[in-house]
Amino acid sequence: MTTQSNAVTKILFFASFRELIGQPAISIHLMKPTTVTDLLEQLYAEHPQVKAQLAEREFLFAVNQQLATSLTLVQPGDELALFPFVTGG
Amino acid sequence: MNFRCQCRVQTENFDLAAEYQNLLRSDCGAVVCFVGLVRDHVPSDGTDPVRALELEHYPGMTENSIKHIAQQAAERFDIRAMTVIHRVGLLQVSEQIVLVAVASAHRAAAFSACEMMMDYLKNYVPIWKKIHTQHHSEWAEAKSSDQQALQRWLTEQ
Repeated sequence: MTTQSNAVTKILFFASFRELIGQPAISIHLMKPTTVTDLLEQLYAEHPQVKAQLAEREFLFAVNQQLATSLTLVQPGDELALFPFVTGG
Repeated sequence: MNFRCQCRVQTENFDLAAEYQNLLRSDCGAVVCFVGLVRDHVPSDGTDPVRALELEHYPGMTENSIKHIAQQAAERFDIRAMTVIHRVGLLQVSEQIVLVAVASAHRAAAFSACEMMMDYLKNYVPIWKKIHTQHHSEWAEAKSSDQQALQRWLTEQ
C-alpha cells in the first residue's frame, strides 16, 4: 500500500457543500493525471449521493489551492476543493 | 518594488488603532482603512434580523489568495504597505469582520487599492458566511452586485 499512498487525491468540500455531503473530504484513488471533469465523474461514480447532493448547483473548484477550470489537470496526490461562490468580506 | 503586505485570518478581534500605527511609514502621506462590520439587517427572504454571522474559510488558500490580490493591487497602484485581516468563526452584530488598510504617498492610490482589494476579496477569496437569525440559519448567497463591482477593475486601466 505504501506505493499507492501518492495516488490518493483528496477532494475537499466547504460551507454549504460540506453540510450537504455530510463530511469535509472524500479520498479518491487516482492512478494517472486527469482533468477536473473526469475526476468529478469518478467521484460521482464511486459516491452517487454526492452527484445528487450537488445536482444543479453552481460551484467553483481549486486544485492545490488555486482556482481552476474543468479542464485543469489533476495529478495523483493533488488536492481538489469544491465550493459554492464565495461570500466573504 | 518596495511593497509590504501583512495578511492574517483569525478568530480574535483586531485593534484598528494598533493596525494603523503598524502601517505608518515615513514615505507615506496617506492611509486608507476599510472595516467591514456585522449589521442587523433583515435578510431579503426573512422577517427577523441577523443575530450573528458564522464565517468559514479554506485555510492556506485564503491567505495565499489575499496576498496574490494585494500584489496585483501594488502592481497597479503606487502603494507601499497593506494590512488585511479577515476574521472567521462566530461574529455577533456590530463585531468587526474585515480590515483592509493601505498606505501610499498620496491618497488616490490608497483609496483605489483599498476598493480593488475589497472587490476582489468578495469574489475570489474562499470565505463563506452563514447568516444566523433568531429562527433560522442559512448560507449567504453570492451577490451579483459584487460581481458587477469587479467589472470596473477589469475594464478600467
